[in-house]
Amino acid sequence: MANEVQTITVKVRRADPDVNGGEATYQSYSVPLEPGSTVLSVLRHITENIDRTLSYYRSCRIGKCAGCRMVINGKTRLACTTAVTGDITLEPLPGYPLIKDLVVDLSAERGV
Amino acid sequence: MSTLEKTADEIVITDVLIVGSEGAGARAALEASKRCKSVVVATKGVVGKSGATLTADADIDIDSRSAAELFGLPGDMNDSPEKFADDMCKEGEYLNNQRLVTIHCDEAPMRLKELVDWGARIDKLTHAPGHTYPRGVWVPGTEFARVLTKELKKRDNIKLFEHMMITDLLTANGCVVGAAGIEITTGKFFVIKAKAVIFCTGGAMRIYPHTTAPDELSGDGLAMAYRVGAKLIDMEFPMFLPYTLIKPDSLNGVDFSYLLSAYVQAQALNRHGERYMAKYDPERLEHSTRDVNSIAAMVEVLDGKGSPAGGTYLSLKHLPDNLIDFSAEWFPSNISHWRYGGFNMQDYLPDLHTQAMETSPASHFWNGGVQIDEFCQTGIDGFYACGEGTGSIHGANRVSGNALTMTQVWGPRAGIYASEYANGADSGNIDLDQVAAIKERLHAPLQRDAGVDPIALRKRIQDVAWNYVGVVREEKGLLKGLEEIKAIRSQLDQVYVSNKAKRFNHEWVEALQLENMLDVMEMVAEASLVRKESRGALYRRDFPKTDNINWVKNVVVQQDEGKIATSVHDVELDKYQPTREIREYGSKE
Repeated sequence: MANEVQTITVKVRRADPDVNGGEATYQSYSVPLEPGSTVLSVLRHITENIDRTLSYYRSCRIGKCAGCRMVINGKTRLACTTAVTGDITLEPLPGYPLIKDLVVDLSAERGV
Repeated sequence: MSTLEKTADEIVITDVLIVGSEGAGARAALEASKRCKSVVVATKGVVGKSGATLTADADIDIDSRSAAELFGLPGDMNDSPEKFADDMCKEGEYLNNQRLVTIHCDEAPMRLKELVDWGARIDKLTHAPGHTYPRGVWVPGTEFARVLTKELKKRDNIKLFEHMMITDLLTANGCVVGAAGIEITTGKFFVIKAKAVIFCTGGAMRIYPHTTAPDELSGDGLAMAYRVGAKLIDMEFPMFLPYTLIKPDSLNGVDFSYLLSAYVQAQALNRHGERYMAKYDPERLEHSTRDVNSIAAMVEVLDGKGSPAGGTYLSLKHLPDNLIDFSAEWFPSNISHWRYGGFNMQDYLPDLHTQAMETSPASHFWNGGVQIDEFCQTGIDGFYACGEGTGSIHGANRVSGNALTMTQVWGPRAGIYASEYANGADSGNIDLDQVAAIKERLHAPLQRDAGVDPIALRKRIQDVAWNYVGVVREEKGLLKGLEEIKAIRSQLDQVYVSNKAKRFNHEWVEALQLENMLDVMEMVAEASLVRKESRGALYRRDFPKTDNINWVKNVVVQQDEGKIATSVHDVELDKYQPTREIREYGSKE
């Protein structure tokens, strides 16, 4: 079918320190690939339409605040400005205390 | 154990509580920390990684002569703070409080000097429209975030609470005595006792579906201020930026296309291929003002001539291919080589040699807000406000570059005067019943097992704001909008959050923002309905003229016995006087 929407698999590392001793699991979501998709727009699609329990942090959406830094297919990138063209694996920024799923405590960065 | 300790998960006690941590909030905190024993800064996001300041693209205004004298920039020695103030009043169409404008222009150079002394790197001096002289000292928003975060960290008596959504002001005997909220990272209910509270919470651009602003700017501060009876002024003047992207969805509100239109002759087209700006500003066309461009695009859309996504087209196709290709090389650094922010725009835009971009006006700035005096007092003891989301300074519209100036001048003032108040005040008594009622209200959406979806309701609020309380307003639409607001309000007590986890539950945050967005939209609608003319950032399609005979007046909104009330006040005109005439909208003096 000509109009069939391409879907991608988005694999996300998930952990909640309040649940199962914070044990991490990977969860996969099937997401339609829209033209111009970014990692942030994909995450927004998941939390709005598939799974409200998935947590991530974002603010400016234009690559300036760097609050949405995470590991995308093994590399540290900003979710908001990284284009999505196929399956992706998302993991939280390493080296920071984990708050939940893709959210880490960025205050560590200020050395407070 | 007292009841407060049983009700609150955490209790924090401080001299001054500052809500918001960026341009205005950080500056307020730095001044307060010099004067008080303890300062708490609470932000809904992350310090230096949230708020509107860091998104600024970005010039900060000071008078041109000071730019030359203090920073060695090529400023014009004929300029002065008075001439800067004159331009502010012209652009604000004389609704500004002129006492505040004078302070603003007088103190701006010294506050920028402090920022530079702390290490902020300044670049060139720009001459933006609306300014008689070049006044825009180029400092990217991210540079404010970097420097202010560094300074905040140095002060031992400032405690930062991140991911802290303040939801309510606490009052006792008509005074503000603290605030309550939810720590998003843990879901804990916090009560913060403070002798003075300063709101640096920014605008409410997110009430609209299209905006250049970060996600968290849902007008929480404006709504909280309203609910404790503060006066809000000039709420009918949310400002819109034209030609921001509406496609792809992921880049909704990105202003690359607007910036581009300043440097090459782009053509704005409706669905008939008509270059519609010829009807609205035959001489300047797409180089007309931001307001006229935004209004024209929206009228086309409302008249059924828009693009599929509900915008208009912005085209470069009439330009030679090699001209388009070359433009990328000489565009200024913030948009050169099809790079913008962190985007490679070529990943997201259609081929501009053959296709047009779909663009729309987007909510960009909040001119009005909490009414303050020269000491940032709100009229409620213990409650101060500064920065975007306070009214009286910009009037009906803001000149380019003056948003950052506002944060740097008024943040410190709020910090100084709130500290002085706090040092002379006793710690107020927290009303336990009030705290218990807040806690119950905040947790109700988590406790329901079924009901209204907060995200669907947020989208409905944004649609109503856009369609009836947006770029183009008229009585019929505003009344319809108010009806919708009433209908949506009746659903607030049925909102249910399906995610029951307390830790970083963004669905819960969305639910808690709904009432704020609705309160702000209602204020904009009511204030717009009162003003029977068009001025600055407000265009009333049914009253398209600017009436300087009858309407050099401020509309003030205030809650009165649980209901919204508006009143109209003459502006105290001092040095700067408008010509008393009725003229076409957009034809400034």
